[in-house]
Amino acid sequence: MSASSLSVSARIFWLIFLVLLFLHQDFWNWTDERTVFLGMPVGLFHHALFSVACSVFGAWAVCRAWPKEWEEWADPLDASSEESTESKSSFPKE
Amino acid sequence: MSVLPVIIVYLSLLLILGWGSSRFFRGTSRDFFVASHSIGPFLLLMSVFGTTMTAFALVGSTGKSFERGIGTYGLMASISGLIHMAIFFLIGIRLWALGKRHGYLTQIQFFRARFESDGLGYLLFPILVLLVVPYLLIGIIGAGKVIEPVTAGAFPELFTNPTIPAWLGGVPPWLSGLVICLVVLTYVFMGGSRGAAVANAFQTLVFMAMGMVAFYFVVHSLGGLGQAAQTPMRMTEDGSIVQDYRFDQQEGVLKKRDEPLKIGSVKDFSHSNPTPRHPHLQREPLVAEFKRKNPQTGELVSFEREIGTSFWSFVTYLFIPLSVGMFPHLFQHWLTARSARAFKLTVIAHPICIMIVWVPCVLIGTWATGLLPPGVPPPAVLSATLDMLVGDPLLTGLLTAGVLAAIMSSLDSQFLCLGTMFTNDVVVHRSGKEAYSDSQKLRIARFFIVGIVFLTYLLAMVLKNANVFDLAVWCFSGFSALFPLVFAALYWKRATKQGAVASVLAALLTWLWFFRQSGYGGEYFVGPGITPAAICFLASSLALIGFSLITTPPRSSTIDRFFPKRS
Repeated sequence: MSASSLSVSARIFWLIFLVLLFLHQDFWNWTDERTVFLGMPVGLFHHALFSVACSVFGAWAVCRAWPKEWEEWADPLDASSEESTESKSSFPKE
Repeated sequence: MSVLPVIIVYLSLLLILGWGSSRFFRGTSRDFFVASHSIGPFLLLMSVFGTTMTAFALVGSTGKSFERGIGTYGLMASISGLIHMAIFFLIGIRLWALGKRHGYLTQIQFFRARFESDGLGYLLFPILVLLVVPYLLIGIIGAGKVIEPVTAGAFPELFTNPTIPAWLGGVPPWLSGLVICLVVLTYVFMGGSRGAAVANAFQTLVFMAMGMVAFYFVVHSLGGLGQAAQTPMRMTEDGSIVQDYRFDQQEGVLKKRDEPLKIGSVKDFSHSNPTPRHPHLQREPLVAEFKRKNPQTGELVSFEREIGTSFWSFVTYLFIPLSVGMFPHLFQHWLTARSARAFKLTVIAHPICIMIVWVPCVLIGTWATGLLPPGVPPPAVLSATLDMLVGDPLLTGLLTAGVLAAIMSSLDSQFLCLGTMFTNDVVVHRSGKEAYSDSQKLRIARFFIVGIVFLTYLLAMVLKNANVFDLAVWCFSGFSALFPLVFAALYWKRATKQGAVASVLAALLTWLWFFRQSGYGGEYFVGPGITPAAICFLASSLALIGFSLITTPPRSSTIDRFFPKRS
């Protein structure tokens, strides 16, 4: 479960993230004011589509890259999590 | 006058909802602080979305696009869709697992344990409160700015000192801010966090629906989407800025002016692209000069405004949405959610929800540039546009209720979160769990909340003309400067207590420096247009890395606790 060894799905996650980050800049639309769809100029329409792409990315992440190991690690101790941190923590006060 | 009863009915509905929730309130401090254990995917989405979208989303985005144009959406909304989604996924789920496994309730408990430092909690608490205050401020200021224009003329003999002369007799910001604070406090105190979550979901649905209704009626009044797209102010070949249309309120139709009305001119025209265009429909920056009437003297005063967005501002704005990783109320949701699966809907739907709310607001703000005087205060653009284009008091009242819903759905979670942190991380942590009874803990939380709300209210009255969008950006910038702390806590084993303290101090000092430079809440960029958030983030990251590397690594027991090995 360490962060050092990235799984294939984690690598794909970061790759898609970086591609979307680049697409967000859309410098090619900066001086274009054509209205393309539902009264939106192209610069705004691009970003509305970008929002939809982020949702699709989220759906992919949930289906293909969900960190099940963290879920499984946390769930078995469901009952004991009712205890508060205060009672469990052994860190000395400064 | 008919707008007010609609608003009053809406506020009464919220109080009834709070009363209904109080019937399920068990009266314990745990139930008051953390109902998230019983919140499912839909309520979680509504709660997370509702709390992140405040006056900033509806009032602020419309005002900002009135100033800068469509680039406003890319600056904050679309990039937030990507960054928020990634943070929910990369940070939220790990925090949930650690919270579930070790029983953390607040982010300060988590950081104290992860960085083996009690003092870090005491350092972090006042900073988090300091940064939440602007978030509360924008809600209170936004409420005032929305209600005054739509109630203009209702009480001309009672309220004689309006923000601008046209709003004479409107309910003043001091009164609307006070009423909003009292209503939110009442339903939060009655229903605790469960009541707040239910009210949140209700209000989120209300403001999303009302946003769409407002958009429909604005488009209808402007004669359809195609016609509306033509209305923004235009720049001519000689550098004048003109309005080509006017809205005839008698007939309720948009009319083309016989002669374009000159409202301003491009400054330093030789450096601007001289092609005739609508500067608000693009992102290429230019500086324009306009005139506005001084409300006290009636004298015309010149002012400058940058339209569009510079390349560096656009790129470095991506640091601002990182703030969600450190918002105390979201942190609490992550630590205490019923199950990790509850987050799936939020990860998927959050960017779409942002789009549903922001696209109409940005378009309305952009179109309004061709209809309203340029001197209208940005936070008042939405209500002034609705008042001019929609007109019908019942409808305007409903739409105003939608804006108030967005504002209040943020205030309630923030109020609760502050009370939870103060009680658990300061009072109980210092005195021990047994020092106070359950009812005493509840009372302490409530007193602290009332104190903070009172101070924030006073501050809101002083800063009543502040730009809601800019103030929100300052709040987000502070939280994003703290983001390296949570990222390192979850992904870097070598991060130490000293690194964490250095990071928090670097974030605080750089933020305070830039905040002062901005005149305490104005729009401010460094050099070619770099947002201060990027520099604060960098300083905080470097301090964390540098101090962690030169100090002793955390104990192996701590590492094992926060970085479970693969089975």
